[in-house]
Amino acid sequence: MGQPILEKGTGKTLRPILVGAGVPGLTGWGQVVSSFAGAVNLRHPQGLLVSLVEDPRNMTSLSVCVPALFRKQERRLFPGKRVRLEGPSLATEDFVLDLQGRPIWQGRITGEDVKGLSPSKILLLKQSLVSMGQDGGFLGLLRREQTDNAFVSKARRVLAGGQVLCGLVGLGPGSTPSGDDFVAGVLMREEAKAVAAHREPVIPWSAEKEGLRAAMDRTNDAGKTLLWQALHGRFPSYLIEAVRSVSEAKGQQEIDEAVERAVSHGATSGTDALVGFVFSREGTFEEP
Amino acid sequence: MDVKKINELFKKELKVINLGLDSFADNLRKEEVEVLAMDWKPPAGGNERLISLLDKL
Amino acid sequence: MKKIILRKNAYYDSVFLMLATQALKQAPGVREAVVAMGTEVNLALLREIGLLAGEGESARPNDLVIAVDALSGEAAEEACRIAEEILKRKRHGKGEEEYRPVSLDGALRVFPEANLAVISVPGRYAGREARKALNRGLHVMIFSDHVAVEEEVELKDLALDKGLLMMGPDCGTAILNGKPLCFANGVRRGPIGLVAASGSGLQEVCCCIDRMGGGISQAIGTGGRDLQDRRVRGRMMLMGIEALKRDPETRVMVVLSKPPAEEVAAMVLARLEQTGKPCVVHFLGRKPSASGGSIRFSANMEEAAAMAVALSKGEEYREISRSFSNAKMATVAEAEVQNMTSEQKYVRGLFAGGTLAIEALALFEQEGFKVLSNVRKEPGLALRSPHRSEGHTIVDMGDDVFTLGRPHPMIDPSLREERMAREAADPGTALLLLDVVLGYGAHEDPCGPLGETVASAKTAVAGRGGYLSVIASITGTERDFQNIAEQKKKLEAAGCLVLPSNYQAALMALHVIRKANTRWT
Repeated sequence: MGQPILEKGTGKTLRPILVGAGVPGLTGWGQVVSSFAGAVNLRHPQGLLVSLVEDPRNMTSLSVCVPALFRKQERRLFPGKRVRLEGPSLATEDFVLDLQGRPIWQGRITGEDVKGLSPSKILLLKQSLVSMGQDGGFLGLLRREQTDNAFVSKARRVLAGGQVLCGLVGLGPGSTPSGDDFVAGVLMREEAKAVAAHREPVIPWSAEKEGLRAAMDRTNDAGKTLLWQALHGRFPSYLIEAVRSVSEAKGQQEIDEAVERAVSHGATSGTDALVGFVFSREGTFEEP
Repeated sequence: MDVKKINELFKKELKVINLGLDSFADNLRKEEVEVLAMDWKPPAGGNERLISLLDKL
Repeated sequence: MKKIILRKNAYYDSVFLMLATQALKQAPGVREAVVAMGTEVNLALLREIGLLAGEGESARPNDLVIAVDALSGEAAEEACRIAEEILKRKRHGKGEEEYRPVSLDGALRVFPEANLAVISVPGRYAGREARKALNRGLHVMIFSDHVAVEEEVELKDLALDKGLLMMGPDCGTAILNGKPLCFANGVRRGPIGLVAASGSGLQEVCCCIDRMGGGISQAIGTGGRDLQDRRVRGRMMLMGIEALKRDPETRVMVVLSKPPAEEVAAMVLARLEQTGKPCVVHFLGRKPSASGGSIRFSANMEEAAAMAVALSKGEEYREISRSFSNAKMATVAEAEVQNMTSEQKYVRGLFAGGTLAIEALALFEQEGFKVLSNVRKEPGLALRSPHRSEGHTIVDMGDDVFTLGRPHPMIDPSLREERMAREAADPGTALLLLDVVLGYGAHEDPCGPLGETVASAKTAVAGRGGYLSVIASITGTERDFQNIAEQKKKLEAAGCLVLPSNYQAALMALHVIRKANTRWT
């Protein structure tokens, strides 16, 4: 990279209100790849995206919630800008994000999130999803009828061929491919089961996970980022919130509301992830 | 003729604001130049008379 | 009819992509439209359903692929235009809005440390934006043309007042601090500083310098009118010279321009003398005056580069090292005309770079040929219609008359290809002389389609019992992304002779034309 752009002392220090658990472990030079009204995405050389977000509801274990960055639009980061990830801090030419001592956001499923999950609730969740889910991604997997969606046809063929989750990585439309959201949803279901059964939260490594690890490099940054976290048992805030809401729900309506909130995330991301969540490993959607 | 600022520019990193064709900004990014691409729109919706009025403000 | 659009390293919002997909599916005549990231498995699927083609094959996971299947070629083109338009707007949904300032003030609030504005908005707005930028202390490059000369003078006076660069209007090329701006090539760094009133000329000289092992410190563009229009009086040229004089990294200077107005030339030369650094001056199309003092005049752009490189190495310049000596050129020319018919006499030069056209034109004229061109305005030398060649003809295909409403030939080769086919159909055409420009801003594979057109043109002429000679030069460096070696191979495979500089290509063409016109006597 040559030029040491951050040698001189920078003026401003910003303090985030939440730091994703995975962020302090990533060091190196990052570069801003996209800048939105409420989020700035940095690309770490490993291909993982670190997001600086304004709203805590958009947290992931690779996010930093720093509302101060989005106030007054001063010193905004825009595509191309370089950011140095130093572990305890993120540094740009204009400011430093000091992560030390700030609350860590884990992104794990806990007992509290799943204690009310039951087979009947999963069924209600599925029904809600069928009627309220956003089409265009993998929602078609929940239906049995013919589809003209080539991605759904392909996904069905992959799933019919055996438990080949890796075959879904990178498949589908969206800035995060639908398949990646789907797989994250499946992994979240596994995690939820393990937690509910009072097993250690970390599911033991398996051949399937090895396969997914390898497949991760065949999808884009956004998909890789999601899967990397899921393989470590970490999930985006909006999904954990959805699971918890379903767990605590006392009836169909509350489940509907939880689904409505989740499927409004992204275009089809929320829908695809929940489709994965209700997907039964036996290849059917009957039994949880 | 004072060219001090030009000589100073020669010693600094270029920091570019791009008005117009996005491809110019993209190419600069490939060269690791910091560039802010503007979503430039004609002022006053292209209305010439309005433009000259705005300029006076 | 299937078409693919690729957007490399795309980070679009998902909702936007979904809306884009819907819009495309609704476009008239569209059977199918798929918008997805270029992951392996998505590409495999596109291939399975027969939608993968062209550049889609090389898509990477972070690239966006838009694949369209339409009922007709026109419908496919229209769908692609719609897609391009959508991508340009980057519309959002549900509050996810990409942050792109719409005004310079907004941009500077967010990026107060900006030091250069690159302006390529339509000419009638460019001046206003440039003025704002200068008033905010930014150096400016105006790529746009169609800016009034009075406005140019005001802007340059303002720049002079503030001590800032005001490159342009109509400045297509600059390289500052080793970074290519607009249409420019990747060139080694070194002690040669250039100030030029010509875009493709600056590219040619810089590429020659790089090829000869030299390097550049800065390449400042002044815009086409800076020296040629008396009213502008070389304002930016003089500032550029002054800045390079004071630049410790610059040890040799090169000045390049079409012939300036007389008193302007005198001012420029006087200023160059005062720099105390050795200078090479090239006024295109003008025979070199006797060199004096620290100023040397070159006879062509390649020579300007060679002289500058020699000076930068502390060596004495002797001559350009040529691919073919005169004797070898004569032999090659002999072979080229072997199978031509007696009617084939004329050179048809079709150039994307205006300055490159002028250099070729000047060489032919110096050797006594009468050549018509759209570059010349004088009666008797001007083409009656720029679209129709007559006798020896050299055309600047980047001229307004060709580019109004169409992309420049450096970006879109189709207009030149159509012209090549017409020249090949003319029994009087002996030779096509071409330029190819690589680097940023240029087409990603100019010699792909060009090579095909060369091959079919040659075949067409051979089919009539003749032989079409095609000669080209490639302005580019090894650093350019198009891969200059591959580009050269493609042209040579089509039967084109490729020379390392515009000058040598024109010289080779001269040999061929001489032979073509004298062999029957």
